Amino acid sequence: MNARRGLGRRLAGAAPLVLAIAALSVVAGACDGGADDAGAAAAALAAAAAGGTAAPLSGKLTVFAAASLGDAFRALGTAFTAAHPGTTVEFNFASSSALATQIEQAAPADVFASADGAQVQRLAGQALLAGQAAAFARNRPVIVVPAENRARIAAPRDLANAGVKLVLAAPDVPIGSYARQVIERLAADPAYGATFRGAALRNVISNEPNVRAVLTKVELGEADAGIVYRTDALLSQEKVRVVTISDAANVTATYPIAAVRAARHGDAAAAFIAFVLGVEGQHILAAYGFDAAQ
Amino acid sequence: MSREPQRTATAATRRTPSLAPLFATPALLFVAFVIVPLGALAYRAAHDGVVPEQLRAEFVFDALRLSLITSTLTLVLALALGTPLAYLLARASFTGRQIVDTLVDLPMVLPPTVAGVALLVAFGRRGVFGPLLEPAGIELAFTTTAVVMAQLFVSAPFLVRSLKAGFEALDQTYEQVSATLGVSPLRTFWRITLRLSRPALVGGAVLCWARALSELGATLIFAGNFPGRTQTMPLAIITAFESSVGLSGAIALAVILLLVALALLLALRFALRRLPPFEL
Repeated sequence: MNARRGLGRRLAGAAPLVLAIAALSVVAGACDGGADDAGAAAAALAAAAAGGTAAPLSGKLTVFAAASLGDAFRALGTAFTAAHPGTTVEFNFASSSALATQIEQAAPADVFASADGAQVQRLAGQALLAGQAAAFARNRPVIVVPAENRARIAAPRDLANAGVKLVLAAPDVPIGSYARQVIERLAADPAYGATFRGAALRNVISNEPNVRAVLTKVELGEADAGIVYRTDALLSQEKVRVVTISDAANVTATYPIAAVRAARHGDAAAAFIAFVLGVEGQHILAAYGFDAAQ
Repeated sequence: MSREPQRTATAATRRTPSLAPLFATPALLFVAFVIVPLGALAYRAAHDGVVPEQLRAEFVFDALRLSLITSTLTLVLALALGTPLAYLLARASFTGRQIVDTLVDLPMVLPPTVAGVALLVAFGRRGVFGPLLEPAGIELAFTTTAVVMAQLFVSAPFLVRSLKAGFEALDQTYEQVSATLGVSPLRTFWRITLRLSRPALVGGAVLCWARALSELGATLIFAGNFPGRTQTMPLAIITAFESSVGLSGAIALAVILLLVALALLLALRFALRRLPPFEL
């Protein structure tokens, strides 16, 4: 009945599937070629180190960067493409741990900028990075509370108050790890008492996938407090208030940057890293509240 | 008494194999497309041998338990609220029926993240109903209740849609006979309408439950991600994927969820086939 009339249409419907499978195999083939470029990337890094930029750069550079770098790196990318008109820069912002997993699975990254050394070491251990990682910025964790601060959080010790809804990033996400280190260090202070650590951790209602998700939950007032980077709090001054953590209890987040060994645009990757470490790059990072690495 | 008219219809269409050679290639391509990724998952899990180790991890047990409890609760709620709605949409004529019909479908075409934001805007602390809920001491966001709400929002339409189609396709003669014999409308609905619609009910329930089990986006936004409270299996999988354990942890969890879903699906099908046939 209907089957015969609909036959042409059904066959036409099968065509995209065949095309999709063909496209997938082409992509898979292209990915295999990635490792061959590793030598080229290393050579380009060496050339950049020697100060040799003979040919103008071109190509689409893919930068995997920690979520906390979002706004600063977008500005860096604009400045970089202005300095190298033949290039375009694409960003993939997520937690550094998620980015490291993606690079392990051969995601097409040229540069990896992480919010902690652990993710870089994790990739370097598998020989997935080209050359040494360079520290390019530092940051500080802070406590943020919604502007109206209904839970009346005035000091870090209030994080352990009964009923406080605390939101942190997941323990494997750099800021989630830093936040838990801060809680440990606060708990080591006798003034905070033996119950602080357990009480504060019991107040955690969600382990968010990255630092910006933590900030959003605090901005919305769904959480009473969260721990983010100082630079994130600066971006949201109307919506959140900062409760500072004393230097004695706080930790320093150091951001390393490295070229990915399988980079397709090794020369552009080296140039981007040099740009981030250079005067203009450091100036942009400082404008977004990051401290210089040294 | 004929058991299920739908089954005889299926048998009739199975007698026309003339198109089979023509359709076999695209059909096999699709079967391969489904089998290859799942096979790869099983192969990697067996190769890495990570499943037994992950099964002992407390957060995996918590996530699995939470997933089973919340998705089952969602199914029960969807059946309780969705069955009357499907019946009314199929049989009753009332103003706004078309609007309600379209609205019910909406969550199926919405990205779950939209559902999550919508639920937060409605039931969050600063949401539309926040000022009403808070004085009553009701906090929904970041609770297990929020997980069920997120699942119900995205998955119940699958049940309603399927049941409505089932009720519409039903030959109403049996119901009319039942009514003329003096059986009460509710009893007629229970004994005849629902039992004759069993394929639609089973199909819709399986879809609804499976969609609830796989819910991620709305849950992450509205309920957050906390082990034992709101971290269901899909959230545990994405958390493992993004952690330093990376892919191997995600593979183990995915295989566990796959096996549990498969076992439950088979059990459900088996159990529902064994239900006694309907009798007048």
